[in-house]
Amino acid sequence: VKGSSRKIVPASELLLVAQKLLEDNGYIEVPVGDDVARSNARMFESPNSIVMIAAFDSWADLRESWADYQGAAVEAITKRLRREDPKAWDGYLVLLTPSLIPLDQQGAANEIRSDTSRLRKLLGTGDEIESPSAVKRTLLPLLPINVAPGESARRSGLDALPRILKKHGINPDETEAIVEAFKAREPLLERLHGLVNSK
Amino acid sequence: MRIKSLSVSGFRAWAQTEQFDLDADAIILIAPNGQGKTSLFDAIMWSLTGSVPRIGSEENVLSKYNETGQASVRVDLQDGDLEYKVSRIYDGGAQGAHVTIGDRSVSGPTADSQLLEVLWPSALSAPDPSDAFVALFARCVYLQQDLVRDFIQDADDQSRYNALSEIVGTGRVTELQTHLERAKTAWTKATNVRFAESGDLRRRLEYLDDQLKSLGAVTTSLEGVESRWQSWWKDAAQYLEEKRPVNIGSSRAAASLDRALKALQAKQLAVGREADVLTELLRFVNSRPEKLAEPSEAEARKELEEISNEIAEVQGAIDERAAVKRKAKKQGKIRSKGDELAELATLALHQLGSKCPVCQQSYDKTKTKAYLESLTRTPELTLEVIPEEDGLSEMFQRLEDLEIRRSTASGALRRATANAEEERIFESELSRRLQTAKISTRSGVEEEIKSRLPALQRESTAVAGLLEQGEVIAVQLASASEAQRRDEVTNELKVVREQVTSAESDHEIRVKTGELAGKILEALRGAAFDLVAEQLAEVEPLFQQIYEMIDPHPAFKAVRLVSNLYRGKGRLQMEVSDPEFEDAHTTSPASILSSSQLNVLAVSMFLAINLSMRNLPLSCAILDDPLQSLDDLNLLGLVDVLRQVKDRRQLFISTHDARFGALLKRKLRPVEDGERTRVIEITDWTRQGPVIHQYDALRDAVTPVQRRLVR
Repeated sequence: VKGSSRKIVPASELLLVAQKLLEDNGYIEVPVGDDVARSNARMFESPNSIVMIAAFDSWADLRESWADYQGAAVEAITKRLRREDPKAWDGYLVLLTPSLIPLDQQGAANEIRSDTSRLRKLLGTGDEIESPSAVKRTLLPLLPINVAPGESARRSGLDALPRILKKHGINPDETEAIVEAFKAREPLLERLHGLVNSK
Repeated sequence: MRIKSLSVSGFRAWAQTEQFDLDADAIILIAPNGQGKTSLFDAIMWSLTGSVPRIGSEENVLSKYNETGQASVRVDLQDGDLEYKVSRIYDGGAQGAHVTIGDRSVSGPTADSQLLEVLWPSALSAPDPSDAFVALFARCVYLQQDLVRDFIQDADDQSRYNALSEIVGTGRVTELQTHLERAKTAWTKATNVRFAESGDLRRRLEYLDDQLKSLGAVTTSLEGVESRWQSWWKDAAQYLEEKRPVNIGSSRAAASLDRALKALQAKQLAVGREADVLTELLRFVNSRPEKLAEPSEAEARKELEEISNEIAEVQGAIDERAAVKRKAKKQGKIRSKGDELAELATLALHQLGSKCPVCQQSYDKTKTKAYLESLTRTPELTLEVIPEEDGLSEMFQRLEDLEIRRSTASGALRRATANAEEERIFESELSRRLQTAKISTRSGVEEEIKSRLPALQRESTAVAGLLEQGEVIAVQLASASEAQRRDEVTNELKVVREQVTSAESDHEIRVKTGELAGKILEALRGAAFDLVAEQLAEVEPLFQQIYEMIDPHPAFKAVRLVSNLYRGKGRLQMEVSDPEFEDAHTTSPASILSSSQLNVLAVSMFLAINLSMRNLPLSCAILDDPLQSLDDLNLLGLVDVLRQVKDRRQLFISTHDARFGALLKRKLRPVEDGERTRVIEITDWTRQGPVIHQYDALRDAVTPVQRRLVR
């Protein structure tokens, strides 16, 4: 089993990491209801949805009080959004804890995950969160799909050749000349020769 | 490029003509199974690619309830300001496409080529571009319900790799490699030929250098030679066929003079030859043999004949006398023999007994006696009378004298004959020589010869003078020509030197180009694998992210793409694993995941490929009811993914599940200005086709910004 010697990440740190992730991806923090402890919960909104994050020191705390946090989130939403407003039904409750789920509590954890009433629950526990950065895995449904910038911005494999062949010591201008001539159905070596000749 | 609208008629489940406004970011198609969802998406694929292999025979595109017997689909595409109108018709016989781009229209195969060029140029390099386009469309754009798990479950490792390779467009890279190899070979050949040609130029340069050195610094002008040239030609004209001289400055002057000199040399030879002939003729005439005072050949022959007759006569007389003497001698011999026999017979008769006294043999005594008695009777012979004085000695003496005379006469005849032959030969030679000397008469030959010889001598002297002068002019001309040649060589040398320098420089650069092409070729050999690896490096994180967002399995939460080269062939496998347990992983997902979980894996892979191709020509993702039997949690996960996809692709999603449809409408609703989500609901199906209800999905009542919880 991996992570048997893992380091415990404090719940507060998990909360901060989650907050930053959401804010970095366009979410804006909004006030949480007064009846919910502000220290371990934050509420965010994006054009699409409303998200509450609550971090707990222990699984037991989480299990015991997650429903209260959902209630607080729902109250905050219903206070400001009408029932027929689609966004009013587009809420998420992210529940985080650094502690592991006891083996006999797995069923309870699955119940929380499967509870789709009112808000979708995203549960992240010490089982998955081995480090602060692992919080991202729990938040994935809320984050944009990360299409890595750069290399594949091309129309065909040919367009990638200057970059690929550069790794083999070929000047990209020379590869570019060959590729352009090939696309234009012109003599390849003549084009390359023109380039060599001009140097 | 996005799909803007769709018109379907007589296609599959769509018997009647239906128009669809698809100018939206997301299109949600909700319908119970079997009521035309798949047909609608198939219509898009068929219109753009000309084929939907999954449905089998082309005839299957025809609606069973269509009254026209024709399937017709039109798709309008929008790419910035440019509009593409693509329509395709099938009437049970032939299929035809028609494409309008802006104000330009093409039909038939040209239209299909145009579509390929616009929608998937990389497919053009495939052995069958149309098939490749269909396959790529199915892999990257349209995830068909029946083929959801095709890529992850049915395809083997190699065909999976090849499919990704096609998506990346390595076919074009391979084609480029082939072209470059051919071009390099031709280039090297041409470079070698040019090098050989520059070798000729260099040799020419060396030759011209040598020429210039050998020409020296000659500066003779033709100005002083002009008058001599004219005068010489005037004098020589009488001996030449070429009467008028060419200009001395002409390039033909030297050749003209050369011809004239040759003609004069020939003339001189002819004159000399004629003088020789005449001189020899004169000598010959004077060498005529003198006639001797001997009898003529006829007289000698007559005398010889007379002597011969006389000899014959004397010889005859001698012979006659000799014959008589021989006969008399013979008769004498015969008489002597008879006398001897008679004596013997007489003796025998005396001794005749019963037996022979010599051999004691018995005999017929009567016959023998009669015979012996006959022998004793010798016949009388008449003997020739030989005169005492026969005159033979005188005859022999006369014969000897005659023989001497005949010998003398024979010698005289031989001499006479030889003299006559000598005379005939002389006459014959004289005739020939006269003919050669062109003298027609034999009289006055010597006088004619003596009169012609001085004239010939004068002519020979004149021609010799002309030759001498002409050669001087030729030397001057050659000298002037050499100066001209020097100028020409100098000029040519300059040009050739420039050409050689240029050729050497060109050759050097051509060799560099060829070497560079070789290096590029070498690099290209591994480029296809690098390309796929690069694409995989982009696909894999997306694949992982999407799979984890949907999170279909409680333990196998991680996925990975494993690629490698085996015997030069690429292979691609998918590995699912449990991040919590190091040994819990497999490259056969079907052995671990349920059917619906496999569907999630397949959808994740499809979307990862689709999104990794950020410049996909047709910027769409079409998913036909991809998830069956998923629990609510996974459906929520999928919808979250689709909401992200919608921001990057024009999303087409269909579902048979009304609850999922409602969720899609809510989750994929437009939230920003300018966004639009289109909903097509099929509420019933009749033989005229599906009963449809099209509308825009509701967006938030007021702008999201105003509705934020932030106040």
